[in-house]
Amino acid sequence: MTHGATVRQGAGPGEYSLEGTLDLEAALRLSREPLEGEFLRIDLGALQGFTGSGAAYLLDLIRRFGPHIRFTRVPADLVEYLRELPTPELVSAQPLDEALEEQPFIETAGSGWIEFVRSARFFLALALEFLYWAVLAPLRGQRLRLGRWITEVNRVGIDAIPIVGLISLLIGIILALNAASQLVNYGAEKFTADLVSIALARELSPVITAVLVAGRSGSAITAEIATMVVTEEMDALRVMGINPRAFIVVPKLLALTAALPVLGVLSVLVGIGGGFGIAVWVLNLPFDLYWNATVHALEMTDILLGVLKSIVFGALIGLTAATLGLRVTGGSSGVGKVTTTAVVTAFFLIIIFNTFFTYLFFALDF
Amino acid sequence: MNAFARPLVIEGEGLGFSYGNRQILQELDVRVGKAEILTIMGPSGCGKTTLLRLMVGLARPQSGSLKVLGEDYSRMDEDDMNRFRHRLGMCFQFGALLNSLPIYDNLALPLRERWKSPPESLVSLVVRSKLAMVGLLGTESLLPSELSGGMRKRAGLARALMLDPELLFFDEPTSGLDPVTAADLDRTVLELRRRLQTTMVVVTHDLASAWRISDRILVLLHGRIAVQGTREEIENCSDPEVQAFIQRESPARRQSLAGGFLDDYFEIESGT
Ligand SMILES: Nc1ncnc2c1ncn2[C@@H]1O[C@H](COP(=O)(O)OP(=O)(O)OP(=O)(O)O)[C@@H](O)[C@H]1O
Ligand SMILES: [Mg+2]
Repeated sequence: MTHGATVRQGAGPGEYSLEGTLDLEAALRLSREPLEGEFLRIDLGALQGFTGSGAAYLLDLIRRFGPHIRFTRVPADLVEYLRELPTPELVSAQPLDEALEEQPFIETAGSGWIEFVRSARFFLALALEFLYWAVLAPLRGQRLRLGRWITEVNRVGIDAIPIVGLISLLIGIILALNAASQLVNYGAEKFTADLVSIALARELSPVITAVLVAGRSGSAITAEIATMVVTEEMDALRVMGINPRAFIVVPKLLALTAALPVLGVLSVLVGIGGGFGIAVWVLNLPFDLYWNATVHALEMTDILLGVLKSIVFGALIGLTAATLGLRVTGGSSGVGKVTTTAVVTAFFLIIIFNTFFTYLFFALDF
Repeated sequence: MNAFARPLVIEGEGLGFSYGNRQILQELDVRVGKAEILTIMGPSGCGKTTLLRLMVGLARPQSGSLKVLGEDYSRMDEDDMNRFRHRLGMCFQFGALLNSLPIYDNLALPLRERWKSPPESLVSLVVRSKLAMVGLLGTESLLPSELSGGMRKRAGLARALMLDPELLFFDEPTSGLDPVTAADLDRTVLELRRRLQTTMVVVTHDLASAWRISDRILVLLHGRIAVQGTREEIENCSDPEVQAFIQRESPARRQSLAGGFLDDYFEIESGT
């Protein structure tokens, strides 16, 4: 029976012998054992067998002790094995640090900014190109890819209806409950309807739908585009003379900018419905009163502002996904990384732009 | 036959390319004549795919000049490039089929994009005849993920042939194929040249296939051209690394056999 190799001290100083089978497990154990002496002579005559990793231990010893080590009575098959390897290079190469895969902090920080600026430029260029493909190209008789667009609208819009509906209903309920419980202190609970409908139309519905779509479709689109880059599908399109941005990215962007406003309006309606139910059945507000208040409060501008926001959010989600997806580097781990980044970036941009719009409309008194 | 008696299809001079500060290709002079088949060989990672990418314009050389079919890529914008590329075809190392489309639509794509709404009856005939050429008839409705690696590669070739390109690039067409299919593919390549005068640049690891199909072979080592020429010229090349490469022996092994490194440390057991 073979057993892991052991090292045994020999007669003179620095004399050792290895016995048993020199495998990986033995190599790991032996490399922790101190070997002492000016000059090491290691007898391998009693070695019963070895594996590749075990033999690497011997090379490691050569690396550590340099010319002060010598192996005696080496089995012929071991030497034959070592002859197959570029032993001088292996021994002279520096050991790599464990930290190799973690890049130095300074370098990453710096290149992060450069990468950010480059991505931002790419994002803007893509936005301009999108405007061209969405507005100018059809006028010039270039083909809009209706088939692909419909597929994308299905995935981005139609499939999102249940989740958007459910979340909007719940938001409507939460809003109505909160509004009523505060407004009742001033005897103003009949304004619940105003608050719910305006808050939904102008702020909450566009933001909630955009966040849901960014999480659902923004991530999927980024992953899809990035995978296509990694598997050379984008290159293959280019070699066929097909502009991959026009072919792959534009239909997705058009679908997002078309689906989000529709989802947004749907969300407003369902949300108001949720508030309505709470008001009538839980808060016992009169049915007509609430209905009339809603109809009065909600103006066309509120809806239009919400729709405008939704269109912009749709473009932001699509452009972020496309920018990060097309700029992916580093194989399949890169795909995972850009997908996460795309979702977080889209959330961030949605909130930033929403704040900006709300402030703008406030300042302009819309 | 002398390739340079024919008009030149690819003229590259002093081509250099690097990723960041890693120099991948340097000082390459490449010429390919009309209807010639040039194979590029070299160890893994020596820059063969990179050279192909330069020649199809997927990457731009950082130094040197390159003309393909008489056109200088550096003077073309993206639209010019897309129009020009109808004259090229490329087979990618792993097929690079669009994963969301069935094989039929993958093949029909270049036709449908080149000519707006071509008659479907013609498209289906062209698609099927190209599939037949690579032995994939009957896979029309399958998705790329339902094919094996070698089948995907052949489907990629069929797709590259859709527009009857004047110039075809192959990235390791025979790797991962069984010997019979590989030989079939070589026959397809030679047939294409005979019938359509197609010029081809083939990256391959398959020495047998290289001897079969090529007029000239270019051996790339460490980002430079070690030697290029006909079979005799390659076989008579004195560069030991080239010899090692065509004789299938790893240079590392030859080195350590030559060096006395091991003898400094190991005393072989005597008597056994
Ligand atoms: N995107 C990239 N970023 C950085 N380096 C790269 C990239 N792609 C390739 N390289 C490097 O460029 C060199 C040449 O790569 P290339 O793909 O051209 O090799 P190859 O000769 O085709 O190899 P193989 O036979 O394995 O396909 C390799 O050393 C590789 O590490
Ligand atoms: Mg390659």
